[in-house]
Amino acid sequence: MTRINVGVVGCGNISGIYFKNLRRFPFLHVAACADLDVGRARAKAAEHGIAKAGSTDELLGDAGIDVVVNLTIPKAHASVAMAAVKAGKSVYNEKPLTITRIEGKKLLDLAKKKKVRVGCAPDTFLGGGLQTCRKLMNDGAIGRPVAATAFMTCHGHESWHPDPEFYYKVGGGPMFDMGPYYLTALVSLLGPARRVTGATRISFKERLITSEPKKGTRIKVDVPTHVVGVIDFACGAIATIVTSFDIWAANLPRIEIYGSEGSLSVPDPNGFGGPVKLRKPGDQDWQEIPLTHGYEENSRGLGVADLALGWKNKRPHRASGELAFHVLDIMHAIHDASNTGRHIKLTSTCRQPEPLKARLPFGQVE
Amino acid sequence: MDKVNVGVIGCGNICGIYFKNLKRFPFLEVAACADLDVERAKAKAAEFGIPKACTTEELLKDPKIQVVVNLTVPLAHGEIALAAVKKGKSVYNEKPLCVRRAEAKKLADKAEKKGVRIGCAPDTFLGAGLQTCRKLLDDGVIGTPVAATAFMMGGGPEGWHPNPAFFYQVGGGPMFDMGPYYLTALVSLLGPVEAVTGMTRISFPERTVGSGPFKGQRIQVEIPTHIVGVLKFASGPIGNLITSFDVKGGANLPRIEIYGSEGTLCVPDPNTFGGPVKVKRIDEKEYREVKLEHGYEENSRGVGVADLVLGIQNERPHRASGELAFHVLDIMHTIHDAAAAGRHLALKSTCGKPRALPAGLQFGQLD
Repeated sequence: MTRINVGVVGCGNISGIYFKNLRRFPFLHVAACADLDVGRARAKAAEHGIAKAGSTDELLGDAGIDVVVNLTIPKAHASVAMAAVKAGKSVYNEKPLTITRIEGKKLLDLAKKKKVRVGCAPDTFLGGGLQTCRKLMNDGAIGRPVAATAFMTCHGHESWHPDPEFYYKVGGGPMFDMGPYYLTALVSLLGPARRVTGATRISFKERLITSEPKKGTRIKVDVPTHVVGVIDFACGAIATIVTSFDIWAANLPRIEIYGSEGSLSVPDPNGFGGPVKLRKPGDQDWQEIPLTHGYEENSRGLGVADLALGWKNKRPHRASGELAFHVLDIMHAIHDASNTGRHIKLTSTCRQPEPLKARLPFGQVE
Repeated sequence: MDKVNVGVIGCGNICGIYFKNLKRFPFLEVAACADLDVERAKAKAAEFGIPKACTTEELLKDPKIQVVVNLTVPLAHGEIALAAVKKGKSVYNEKPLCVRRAEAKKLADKAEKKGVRIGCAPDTFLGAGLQTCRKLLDDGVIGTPVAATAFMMGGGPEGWHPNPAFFYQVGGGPMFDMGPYYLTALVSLLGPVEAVTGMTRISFPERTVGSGPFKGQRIQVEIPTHIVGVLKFASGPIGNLITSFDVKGGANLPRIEIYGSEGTLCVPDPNTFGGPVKVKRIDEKEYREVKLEHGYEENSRGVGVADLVLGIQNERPHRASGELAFHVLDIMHTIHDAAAAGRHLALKSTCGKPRALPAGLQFGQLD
């Protein structure tokens, strides 16, 4: 079997885990990497034993590359992905798919025309924790889902991040930063949403950087930092989501799903592992459920492997552009609902991604 | 000073704690009690040493009675209260103030015209737990409040309640049943709400009575049983409130938390008077439990009545007021309206934040 050639564009912080994990899939070959800073690409190539390092244009012009993994900054996601698709390559973006819905739509339309695939992080929903949740739900462990809650609360990133300004500018904010993990998990477990409402606020107009090297610099906050959404899923369940950079401490869980016959405590959707807990009516306490699925460790890149193999084997891939676009649409629509004071009916939808098989060893996705 | 004479109408389950507690306030006298079933009123009168047991009409006609405590079923709250007000009496209703806003408005207008007072349960916000929270907020311990969450997640009362049908009919549902505790607590801590939105659903169109004489009987659910509300407080914070009878396996959610610019406050169960109250400031690694220094830590249902009575005597506003209860009723209805209309709705009502109680009060003491 010939291996599928993957090229990675963007050799920043997140690339290391992708390089490390992608080589563990026997059907993939990371053939090249690129960065605006070619020196940085060369360093990564040397570190991870990648044959080619060069500019983004060179990588996109390389006829041998089948799939581009786009790890550039969010603002560049659309243009790099469009260029890859135009070059006839499938592309897998880091989250979010794109900043705007228009860009996202354009990308999916062109990919369809070009008959290539679009995939997108996060792929944490393919991890052992969330796939165990999926199996429990499919097996009817909590009956029919009726409601859910999801909370991501913190006080922003200006106390530790070296350059936190972008968190408070257009494209940033807690929903666009962390929402993809929570919403992708919810959609993978409950299916698509049909309507949302929400309320947002900027609780602090200014942020003070307390981390080096920009310590003492003030950031003007341009986007809502406390974002409350209510989501009506097509299956009937109503979910409440809070993402906030305005909260110092809270005793809130990450995600809980409430069903007609029990409740499910879903692990941190920014991780691949557990714990998964179940509570049935009458139980005194939550019961931890052993994970039934592989990919419990940090498996970032699993979504790329699934896309590549899906393309090869002519089956849909799971961390799809369609799913990521729906998640992007939900995030924007929550803000729109807050701005217009109306519930927003979503125009996008997606298929619920297929579950993975239980107990897969790392490297295997089918 | 002469004691104020109080008459209690409705001698059902809840009245016992009122009778027991009201006797402990030296400035009021429970002079009469009444019930649709006069025998039941007589039994309670004997049990609690109340001089007179009679019909509702007799009680309302008794010129000695200045304040009526209305412990009837929710659907009767509006009518009985209005009758009391028409007789020139002040009235304190069990929650909710009334089922419909129009009734409540009529009641408030009439009371104003007659120069009498309206009060309403819950008065748990006057308890040691919530008053300690109030003091912490007033003292700026968590800075400026920016957000809040409140959750009442249950599976519905049909498993244990002997006659639960009314929970699933107009006037019932988790919001009208339990919302007053949560919303009164939130409004007493953060002030009035200016706009809301929400979504609701009926997750189970039918319920089955699980115990008692009606065991096995089916109940058709007529009203939403999972209600998600988003509250915009006039002072700025956004609150999330979920009340549900649809959560069968339980939830790992706190009752009420208030998030401030300098820390977080964990508010105790607003259906009780006690603690624990916990706080975590920016500079603290762990939550710390705050010692309650306010009175009324035990079940003090009736303290709102006593405060109303003393408010009359001392010519000052009372705390568990009709205005507060009307605002809470309006919030509950408006969340349902917003869900039905698919939009945010501004509230037409508002209220003042009730005055805090001083710390260190003994039971029986209020001013």
